[in-house]
Amino acid sequence: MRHLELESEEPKPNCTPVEDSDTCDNAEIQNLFKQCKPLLEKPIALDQHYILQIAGTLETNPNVAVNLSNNTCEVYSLSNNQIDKLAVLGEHSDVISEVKFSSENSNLLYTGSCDGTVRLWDIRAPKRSSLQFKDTTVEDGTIKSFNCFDISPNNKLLAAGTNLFEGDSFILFWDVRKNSLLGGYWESHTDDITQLKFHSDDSNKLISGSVDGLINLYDLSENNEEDALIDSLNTESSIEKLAWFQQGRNDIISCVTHTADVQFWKVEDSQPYFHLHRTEIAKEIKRKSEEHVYIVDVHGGANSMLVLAGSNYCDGECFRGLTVVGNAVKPALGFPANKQRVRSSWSNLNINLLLTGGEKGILNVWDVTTVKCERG
Amino acid sequence: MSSKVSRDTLYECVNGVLEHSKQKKRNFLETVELQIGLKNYDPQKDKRFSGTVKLKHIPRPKMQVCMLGDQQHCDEAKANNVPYMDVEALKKLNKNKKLVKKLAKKYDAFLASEALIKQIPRLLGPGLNKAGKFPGLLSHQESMTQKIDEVKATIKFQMKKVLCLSVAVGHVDMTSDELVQNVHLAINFLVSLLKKHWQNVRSLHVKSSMGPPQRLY
Repeated sequence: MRHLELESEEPKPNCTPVEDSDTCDNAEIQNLFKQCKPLLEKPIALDQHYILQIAGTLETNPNVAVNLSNNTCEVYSLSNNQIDKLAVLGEHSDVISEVKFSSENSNLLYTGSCDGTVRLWDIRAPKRSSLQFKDTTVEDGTIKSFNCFDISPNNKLLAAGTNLFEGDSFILFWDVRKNSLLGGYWESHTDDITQLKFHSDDSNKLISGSVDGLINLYDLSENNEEDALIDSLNTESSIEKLAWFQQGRNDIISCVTHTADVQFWKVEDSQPYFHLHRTEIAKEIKRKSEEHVYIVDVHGGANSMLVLAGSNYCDGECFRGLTVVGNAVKPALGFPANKQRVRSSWSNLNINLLLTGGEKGILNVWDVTTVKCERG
Repeated sequence: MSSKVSRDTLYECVNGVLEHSKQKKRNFLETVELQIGLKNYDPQKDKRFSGTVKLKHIPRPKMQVCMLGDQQHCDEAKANNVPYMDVEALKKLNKNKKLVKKLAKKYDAFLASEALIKQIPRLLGPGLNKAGKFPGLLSHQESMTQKIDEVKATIKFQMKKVLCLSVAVGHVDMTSDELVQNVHLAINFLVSLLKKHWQNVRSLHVKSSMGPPQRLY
């Protein structure tokens, strides 16, 4: 009961360092975390809107899509530390839950929304989406809202995950080229589906993550859901983000939970091979208070993974990166110029590029040159 | 984290809940709930508020946990009077939807041995997933009874579109000390997941299933 104290008479000022601060002095922070330079800082969302998600293409001068909490998505081109607006996509009538570029064509962008549609856009003609995917089997006026979607690596299949709808949560599949609904699964989760990720080079391998805590692995070459479900990994939490990584011959799945833990699974195992708890993350990002720690995402390369985490304290300015190799974790990157609680990040570590966006609506472009030097 | 609820207030409210339930005995064991109202929180754009938290004292003692075990775990389950099934028994269900559904209904939760847990989708199909009862893992390094108690002590919470949520933190046969500890642990953990902590909390109440709510905050 050591936390229990009588409430003090005077309200505490908002950001006293009593509640959270670094566990070591600034010199040591600079020594432990390679201080990343902001190449760019651009306010994008106004009126207290957030940047909810960022996606990019793989060129040296990528196209970047920024998903805002005002139901629009803005597209930029990024080159030589300069950013130019290409398009504003404003057709959705509810929150856009995910955005993703086509891997075939950097001018094609998918947006999925709680308004019950996934839309395909050609950003050269941004006034209207060129295709709409929705559940054509529901009655008019009812909506299956989409939390997440993904496109298979062969670009043929679109899968979208829904919130609970009349007691079931659905994964729906469309043929991208024919724009036709192929069918769905609704037996493998009990709650909102928050993540869908195709394996990067197997269009039949899909994982789904849900608020119910399960990561399900499907083999889509099977005829029905019963046979397609080949594995369930029980995280015993609620799943916020999933990603596939390949290390050697191993398929690895990273999972960020809504309770601020990160789990790393090998698909064939029955428990995570590494569970990075909130306590440990606080310790490694050198913060006193575990209770303020939040996780942004996991990025990865062939040998190491980068976990981005921060402190919610004040405006969430404290934002840092940890490298994970096997089950060892250590401090890696610092972003002293960060001004906001970060909600999304996108990286192309081949060219040392990291983009972040967050609750002040600012888009940051960072040079993360050291990450590649980390060898396992 | 500095708590905004004093020890005295906690005891006062919990005792209030207990006294009320004693005055008006029900013919079932009343659950004690913690209710949280949020503010300055926008479900459209803020992070989801959901997950699990392990309490100190078991809030649902009557929960039945079934062991899906290898030989060693089945023997251990038998010795400890824990319901169990082995791989042969699971194979007999033959992915039959009705039988799997019946099994899922019979128990509140499942644990499985390492050797079994990977076979469950193949043996049973998605039946346990659909029931929200996919097993947790019991490794041979862990104690079965301890793990079962952990399962019983772990509660799920989730906020949907309305800005309040309710979690079962105990029952009226628990002592006030036990209830206070559970309520305190749940409050601290849940508040820590809100980005502005207490600035996101509008209200906190404890109540029993049939009793009136007692205001903590």
